Amino acid sequence: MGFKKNWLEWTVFAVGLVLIVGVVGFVSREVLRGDDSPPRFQLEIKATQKSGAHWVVPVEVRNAGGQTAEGVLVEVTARRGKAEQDPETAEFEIAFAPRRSQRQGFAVFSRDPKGAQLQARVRGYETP
Amino acid sequence: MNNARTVPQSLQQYARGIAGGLIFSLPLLYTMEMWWAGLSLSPLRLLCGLIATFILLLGYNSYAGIRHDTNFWEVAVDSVEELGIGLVLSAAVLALLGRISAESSFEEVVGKIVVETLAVAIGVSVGTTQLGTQEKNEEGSGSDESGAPEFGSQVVIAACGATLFATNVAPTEEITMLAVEMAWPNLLLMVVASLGLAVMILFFSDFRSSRQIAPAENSWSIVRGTIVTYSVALAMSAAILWFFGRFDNASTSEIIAHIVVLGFAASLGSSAGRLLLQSQ
Repeated sequence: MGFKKNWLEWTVFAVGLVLIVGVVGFVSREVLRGDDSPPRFQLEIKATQKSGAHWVVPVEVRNAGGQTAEGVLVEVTARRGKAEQDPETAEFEIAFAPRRSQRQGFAVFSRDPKGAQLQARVRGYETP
Repeated sequence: MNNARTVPQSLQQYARGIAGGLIFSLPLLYTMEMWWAGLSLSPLRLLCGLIATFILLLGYNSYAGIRHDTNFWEVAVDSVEELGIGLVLSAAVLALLGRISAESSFEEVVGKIVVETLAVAIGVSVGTTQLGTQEKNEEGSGSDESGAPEFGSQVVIAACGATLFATNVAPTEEITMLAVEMAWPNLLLMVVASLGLAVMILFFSDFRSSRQIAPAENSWSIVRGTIVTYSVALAMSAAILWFFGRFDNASTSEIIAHIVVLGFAASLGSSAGRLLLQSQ
């Protein structure tokens, strides 16, 4: 065929071809899967950590939907009993929650939330 | 230069390609909106982007590559090599910057790499052909007998240049801000300025190779050359803006404003690109 290429160039070509086919294959599979459902959040509260004079509650926020969400506002409430009037709440915002991925945020409390029931919920988000 | 290159020569060529890939697209690798685009663009868009980039590479290698008087398969092999190097280079820099890591999901990693590769691969291609020393650029210049470049080569090179310049500014918020805040008289001035800049670079600045590539034989050829260059710039701007989702849910006037604003950068790329990216 008149190609004048040495072994290095053929190797680069072969590796390049494998990578390209792999990437195109993966992206095509995603195209065919066609999942662009709206963002859907699953929150998991992790163990509280003490940090200086505050208590930090890590929350793992997973977006199980097919679309990315921006500006996800998460609120964590520490409820000490049904009678409590003013449970302490803390919140954080996740700038960018990509589809089918998770991010971790931290809610900071000034009173020890031990013994309180911790609840986390997403208060709002927007799409890019 | 029809004999096979030696391995050291190939290594040098790849080094030029890597340098070119970085020189032309480092700002993109450092841009937050590009990383976000990798995460939020739909797979269909990513696929379109890959295919479009590959077609641009095929075109560029046909008209401006070192061995461009050769057959389609050689051009295709070169293009595959360059796209492959682009993928690896994007991945390496993203990993170096900590933008992808072992903890990122596979989808996130592929998305970010693909988005960055679109510009990096063109940079690799340009670097491979343009950054070499004079002896390496011996072949003809994709021209017809009269010495003026063929139309196809003009369009492809202009498209590559427009893409390189425009993608460096396209993904960021600033383009939207400008498009939305500029009044129509300003936008019109911008069109005039883009055309003026193209005319100046192509015909009146004695820019490198401007006499061969854009000979100003008469006023008509100036008008024709400028219109082709600016049209290509506008078309590439529209394609790039569509790719980054700036046209989703946008009104017609927003769309046009965006195209004009980006078109200024793209026009610089397509006119200067025609002169810089074509081998002597």
